[in-house]
Amino acid sequence: MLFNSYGFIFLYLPAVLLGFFWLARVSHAFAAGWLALASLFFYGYWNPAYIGLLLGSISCNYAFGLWIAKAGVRHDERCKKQLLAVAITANLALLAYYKYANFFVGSVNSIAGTQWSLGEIILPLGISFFTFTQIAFLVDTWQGKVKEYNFIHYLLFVTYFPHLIAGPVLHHREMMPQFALASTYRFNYENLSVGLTIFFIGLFKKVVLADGLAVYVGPVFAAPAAGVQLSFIDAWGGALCYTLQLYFDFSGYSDMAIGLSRMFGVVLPLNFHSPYKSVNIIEFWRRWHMTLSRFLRDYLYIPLGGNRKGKARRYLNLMATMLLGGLWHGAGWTFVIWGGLHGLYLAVNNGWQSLRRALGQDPAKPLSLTMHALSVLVTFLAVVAAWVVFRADDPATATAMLKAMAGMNGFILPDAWLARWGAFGSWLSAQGVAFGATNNLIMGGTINWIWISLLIVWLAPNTQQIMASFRPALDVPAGAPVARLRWQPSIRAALAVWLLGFVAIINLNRQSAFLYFQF
Amino acid sequence: MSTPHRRFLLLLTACFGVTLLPVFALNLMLLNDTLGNNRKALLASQWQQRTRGITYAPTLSDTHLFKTLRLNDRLAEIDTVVFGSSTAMGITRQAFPDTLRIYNYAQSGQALSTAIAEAEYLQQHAPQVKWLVIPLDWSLGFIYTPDPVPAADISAATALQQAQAPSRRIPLLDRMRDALSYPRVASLFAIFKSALRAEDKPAALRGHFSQDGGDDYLCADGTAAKDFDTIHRDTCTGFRFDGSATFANSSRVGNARSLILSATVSSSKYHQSLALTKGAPDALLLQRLAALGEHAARNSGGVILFLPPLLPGMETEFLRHPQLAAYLQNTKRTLDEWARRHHLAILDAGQSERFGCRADEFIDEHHAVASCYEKIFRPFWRNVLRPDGSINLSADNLM
Repeated sequence: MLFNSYGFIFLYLPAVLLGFFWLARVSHAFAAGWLALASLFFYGYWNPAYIGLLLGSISCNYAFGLWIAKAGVRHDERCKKQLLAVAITANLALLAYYKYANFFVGSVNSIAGTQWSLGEIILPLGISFFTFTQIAFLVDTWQGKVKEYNFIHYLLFVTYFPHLIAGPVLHHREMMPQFALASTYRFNYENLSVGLTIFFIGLFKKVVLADGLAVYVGPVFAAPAAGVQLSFIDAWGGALCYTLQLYFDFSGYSDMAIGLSRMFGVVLPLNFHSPYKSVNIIEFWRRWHMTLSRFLRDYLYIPLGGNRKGKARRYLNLMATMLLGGLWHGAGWTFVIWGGLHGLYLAVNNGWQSLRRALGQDPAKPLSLTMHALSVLVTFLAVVAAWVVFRADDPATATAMLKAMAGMNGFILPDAWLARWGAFGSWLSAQGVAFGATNNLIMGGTINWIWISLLIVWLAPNTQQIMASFRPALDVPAGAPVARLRWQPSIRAALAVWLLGFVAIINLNRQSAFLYFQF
Repeated sequence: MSTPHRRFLLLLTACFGVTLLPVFALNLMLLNDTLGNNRKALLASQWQQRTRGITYAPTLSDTHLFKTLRLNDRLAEIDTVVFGSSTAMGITRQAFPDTLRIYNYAQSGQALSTAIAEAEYLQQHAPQVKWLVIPLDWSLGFIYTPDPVPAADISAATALQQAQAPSRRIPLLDRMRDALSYPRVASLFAIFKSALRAEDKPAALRGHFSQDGGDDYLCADGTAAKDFDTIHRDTCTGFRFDGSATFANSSRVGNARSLILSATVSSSKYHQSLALTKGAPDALLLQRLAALGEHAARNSGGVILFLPPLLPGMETEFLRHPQLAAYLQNTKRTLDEWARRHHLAILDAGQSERFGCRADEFIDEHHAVASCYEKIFRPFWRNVLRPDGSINLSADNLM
């Protein structure tokens, strides 16, 4: 079931909310159980076959968690370690089979010229998310950080529908206590109004902005494979549209997840914080898919040694973390290259900061407005180039796109624009600007989408800044509050939210899945 | 603490309630009355048979049932049928000599393969139909598409049966989704706008929501009209008694140059239909057309083939194109040789400016209105019509 579907908005959500608060008056356990059952229905609506897999994974991980905890009580460190190793191996094996087996076999086949086949393996939705969530639970249990082992709460923590399919990657220490709080089960007007507002902001981002941009992306990225040589404008247009589509898609999804959860009185961690406003790649990764970055840092980068084992090892750890982070997004070489590219960016960024510190400068010192804008632009361009690799079907397509973006196919403007621009077009042509037959994949309308979206991305406050008065999410970084657009439960706000919701709802017929559902 | 939030929620719920609920309910009513509702097609067809006026049954993009009912009603009195897609819908009775009695059976999106199948059906079941007018549309790629020719049965009973088939019924959930969709909301808004403009506003609203169709009215030329759809009301949009479309809901081309330039760029459908096929017509389609021609000739009739008119200057632009010119010439050369081999005539109207058509006689790049088609067919009939009214189709002087 999709958040951006009529069935979800008008049937599922009201039914689950009513059931939850009605049952909560009888028993908190019933209400939590109801929410877990509803979440399983949400998951199974897509493909019921994988409910068993999800429940099996939850039961096994919960059992291993209990055994590790019991071994901890007995101070049996060896047993604890062995149990943890078995459990993590089982989790990774499950993920490897469903997500990477065919990729591995395909890679071997292409190198060795063999014809092995495992048949079609359908990727269970959200497997990367529920596997990572539970690995974190196991590791924390092993470290003695887990305090609560209520099975209903654990089941709910893993299956909780606002995060189940595409994150955020939740941590039990921020969720289990909330499920144990009595106030969570009391209906609260503030939670509902704040939750609905955040949900509709997210829905608008997804349905109107992300899906509006999406139509321009496919033809451009499909063109190189069809033997079409992309022009400079086509390639940049396609790359920017995808960059912005992914932004609004993921930002919209994250808002919707946070908003939905808030309606049930549960505050989720922030996952997305205006990443394209970052002045460097290190900051970008503190703002993009924040809960995944946190997971990779806590459960991969730091255990690998982090920055504690010298500079060379630090860069190696960074690269390994990002390569695996790339692979987490999908079983394909483009994802690996994308991860490697970001690993490289991070290494360069860290090296640059070390150099500045060595020269007596403070990298944390605020930049001048010009330097800030320039840094944002450079970071943005680096991210765009990496997204091209991320989106491309194969490295050859990515290379063709990047070559066209670098102007290696020339700088011709579409001849259709010459006719449309009238006298201005003729004047440009007289000045030597070349107009000619391009593929016309990027039209005037696309350019309008791009510049308007960029203005929103760079200049508008984000959802948590707008909702700052009502603690919209956990772990919101401190920053300058916005005064003018700060949300209050007023008539004006109600009309604005209605307008966003209305426009989004009447456009739901062109429903599309969230990009992050595939990861 | 909760009072402002409670007020906010009440207001938000009220806003959604007063906007979404009426939109949903009214659109669902309209949808139940239009989509997949064969009754309207029957009513519209019966009304046209009775009045000879202008009408159509919703939707304009799915005209098969209405047109088939009309064809069957007219079948006994006609001897000429025009086939093809919406491109050919502009052809009226006035484009033909008085000795021919035509029905324009062109339907939205009808491929050449379907047109051939339907013509074959008529040859078998309605031998009084001697003349078959079929467009060979290169611009939309129909002559290149290697579609297998389907089996066709265009009797009224079969058309009704097909329209009622479960596969054509729209599930309730889809109707509900459609009822809240943007195009439906925009259409509902247009209905209210037109009702507000009407003199008798309540009657106008009733006409849209509770009656099978609007009231009868007269078009500018005195022809009766009745609207069975809730959109395009009182505009004389639809089909005339001879099956031709009025295109009254479409504005005429203003900036032809811009359209022509856009048509020649590589992402346009026109460009692609030539580039992808290199202008080679499908041999199987030509073979079936030749067989149609032979059968029609044996029946003292013939097949009149024509390359539909394009916006003045558009085909010339393609014939100047460095890559596409060769493909288009290939198409014309192949068709010419094929037509001569099979003693068929092809009227090439692609360069509509040669016939005196103007840009304002088009609604887009390839949809010409009646007046342009009349100009195109006039010299054709001069060439082929004998003084005694008989027709002498020959390939010699047409391409």
